[in-house]
Amino acid sequence: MSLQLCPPEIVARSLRYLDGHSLIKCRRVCRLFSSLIADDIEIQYIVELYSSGMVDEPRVSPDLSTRERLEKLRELVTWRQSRTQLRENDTTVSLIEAGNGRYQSYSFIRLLDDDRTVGITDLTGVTGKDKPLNSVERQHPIQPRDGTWGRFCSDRDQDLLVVLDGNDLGPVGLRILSLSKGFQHPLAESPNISWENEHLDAEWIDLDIFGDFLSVAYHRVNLDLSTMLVHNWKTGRYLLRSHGHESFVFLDHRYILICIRDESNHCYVHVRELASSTTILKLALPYLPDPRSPTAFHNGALKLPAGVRHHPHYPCRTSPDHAVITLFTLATSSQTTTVIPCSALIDLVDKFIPVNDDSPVMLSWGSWPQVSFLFPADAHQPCLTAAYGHRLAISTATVDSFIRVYEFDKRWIANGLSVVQADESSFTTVIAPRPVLELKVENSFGLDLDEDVLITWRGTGPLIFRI
Amino acid sequence: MAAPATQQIKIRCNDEKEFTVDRDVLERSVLIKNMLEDVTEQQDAPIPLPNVSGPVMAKVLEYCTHHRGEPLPSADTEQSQDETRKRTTDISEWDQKFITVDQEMLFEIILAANYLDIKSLLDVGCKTVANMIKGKTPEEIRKLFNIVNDFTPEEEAQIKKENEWAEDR
Repeated sequence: MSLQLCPPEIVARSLRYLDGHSLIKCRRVCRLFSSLIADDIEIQYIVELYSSGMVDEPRVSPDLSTRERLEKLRELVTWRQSRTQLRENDTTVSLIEAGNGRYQSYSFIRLLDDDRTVGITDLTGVTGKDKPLNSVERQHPIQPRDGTWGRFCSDRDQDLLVVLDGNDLGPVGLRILSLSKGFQHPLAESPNISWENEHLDAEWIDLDIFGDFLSVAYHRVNLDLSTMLVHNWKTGRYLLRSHGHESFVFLDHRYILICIRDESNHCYVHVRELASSTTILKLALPYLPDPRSPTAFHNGALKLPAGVRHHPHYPCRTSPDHAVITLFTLATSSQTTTVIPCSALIDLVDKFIPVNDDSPVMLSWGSWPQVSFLFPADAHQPCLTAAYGHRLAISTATVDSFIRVYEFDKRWIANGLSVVQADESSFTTVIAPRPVLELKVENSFGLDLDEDVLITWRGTGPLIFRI
Repeated sequence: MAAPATQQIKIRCNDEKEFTVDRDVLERSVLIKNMLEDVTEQQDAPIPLPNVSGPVMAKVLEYCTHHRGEPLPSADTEQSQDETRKRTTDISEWDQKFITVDQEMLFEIILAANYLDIKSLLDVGCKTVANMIKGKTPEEIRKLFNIVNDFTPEEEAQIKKENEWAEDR
């Protein structure tokens, strides 16, 4: 009795349990193996999926047969090979957008390597037989009109793409585009938002969209000064300007949360009303005490030691109801990430009666989920934080990049917040949960926890993961 | 109404070996289940199973007895996308112990499971074969299963070349 004498369907059945790598080796065993691997749709799909570097996710489109999956995969691979202009070392996947729940229907948006072009690549593979993959591809470079500034942000829900315009001296304005069409967004009254005669002499700049709000945050290294501008992208109206902030996040359409470092290096979180631009509540900042960095507290606020700066880092407004504040201390490579339930905070702010502006209050944040890290000395800044539901993902851009996903407890969100007197001892409570997922990524990547998708780059094509 | 007493069924293997087995144990085999459903009146003659030998049937019955009472996979599970896509080669502890047999017996069990239409046993067998293949070089696989390399040298060189990019990963 030998395997070669077994009915071929039995051998095929066994081979179907193998991974792509093993199957490729099996092709060399004998003619029977080789022909089975070539002829069996199920096996062929495993092999080609492995070769393509892509990952299938049966949950996304359970109705597709293996034959249909294989066809779509082949279309996708052919199309990808035709995009030869993508270079090996082109590793910038600056941002991704995830699809509408169909198989491999992801698109990603990236800054191309000339630093001037935004490419939107739609990886949607399955939209019906009448639409082969090559015809739905809609990569279209968007050249900032003049200059070298290629920063952008996008909001898929609003079909919005905002590109930073500029010249050699720096960015001078924003262009409001339709993500799908590439020309002026139909809801934008003016195609541009410009700030006249002002070049943002910035080393670091970040764009963010929240509903009608469009924020530009930039940091001037020579002045050690961060500035934030908020516009209404539909009307072009200028709403808010803030100096000296570290980071910010929109709580809702009325309030914005801004981390501000004052002249004496104290850090506070301000809850500011957008309409009146006044601070309603001033909170002490949650912060992880770092044994390597002695910190002082002033009225419950973190006072940074001389020479230690927090890297301005954007917290992200998360869906459906959480804000994430991330602070990164350059000098010690430590990071504190705090998840704040927005609606609970808004609730608190609505009931809050403003007191003397000089005395910050502190929220009882012992029940807030908090994740903190100490990075190795060669670590770069953390590059991405995203949260959805009860999951928080944090990536680190070190030589060996890792993305870690944490799950936080429902009770953290259910707990209401309360204002307490600032107290240094409160800062010793640190919750540092273990990650539920740790994923090594070779290159930079885009992440959308909302859609449960991670896209990274390998060779000349994207690699798509479910988290 | 009292539950009917467990019906005993007689089967006869190709080496004349006979077994008397509880009906529900035997009905793990879809083949026998269908046979029994086709027969309306009580039959005393043993069911002939010309493709299975006594020692193999003893093993198969051991499996069926252990798993008696478990729900049978529905007929369309065979084609289930989910099932095939998962492709997990995990085998439960008992099954693993059960299937730790020499290669001759393994293939006999697989063939019997195929003939008798016992899907879960067939899966255990095929998974075991897959696990034996995993992580081995083509030469090791040939040696393990006593497979003759029937490629011409040219064909072999060609496939090796095609595989080059993938094999060093």
